[in-house]
Amino acid sequence: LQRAHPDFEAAGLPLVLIGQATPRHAAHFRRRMGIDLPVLADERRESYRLAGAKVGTLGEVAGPRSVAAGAVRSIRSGGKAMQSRVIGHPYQLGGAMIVAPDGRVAWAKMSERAEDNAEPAEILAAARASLTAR
Amino acid sequence: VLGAPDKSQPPKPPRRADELGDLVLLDHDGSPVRLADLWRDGAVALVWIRHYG
Repeated sequence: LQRAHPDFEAAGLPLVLIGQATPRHAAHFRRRMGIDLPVLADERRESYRLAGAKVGTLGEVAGPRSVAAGAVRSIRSGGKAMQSRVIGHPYQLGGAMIVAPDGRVAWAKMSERAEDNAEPAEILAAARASLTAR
Repeated sequence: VLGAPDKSQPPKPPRRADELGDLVLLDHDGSPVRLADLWRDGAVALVWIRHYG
């Protein structure tokens, strides 16, 4: 997502991350990952609940596909995305959503499994399609 | 396993973000952010991270 940040800026679509921990954890995460995107802290996971994010089963979070995808992500990031101590609910899954100015959820892809993350290009394509369709 | 449900449930994103918009979260600097303010002037992409670890 950080690498795609200029593409989001060019598209006029601000990108905001939300994580399930404290502001201190969020600040540490930004430093460790070397990102300048805004990161909001949701220790109580209230926004996850309101966004309809699911809590995965053991198989959905730590199954072979998830482990393999995590290894690939770690290699691609040069080790930055390597799994370390989990902060937050270990089975909480995330997702992505585009919200229009009128509060309509223009597009959403909430994860079904741990490795089921929306790619930046997918989010940008969805924004182009869903925000110009009306 | 502690904290993991036995049965898989589908994610259920809402059609509107009104309830989300009322939520106030702290950013990485500790400043409060009302979520509706994020899309007041234009569309926004929100990404929920699985965890920070």
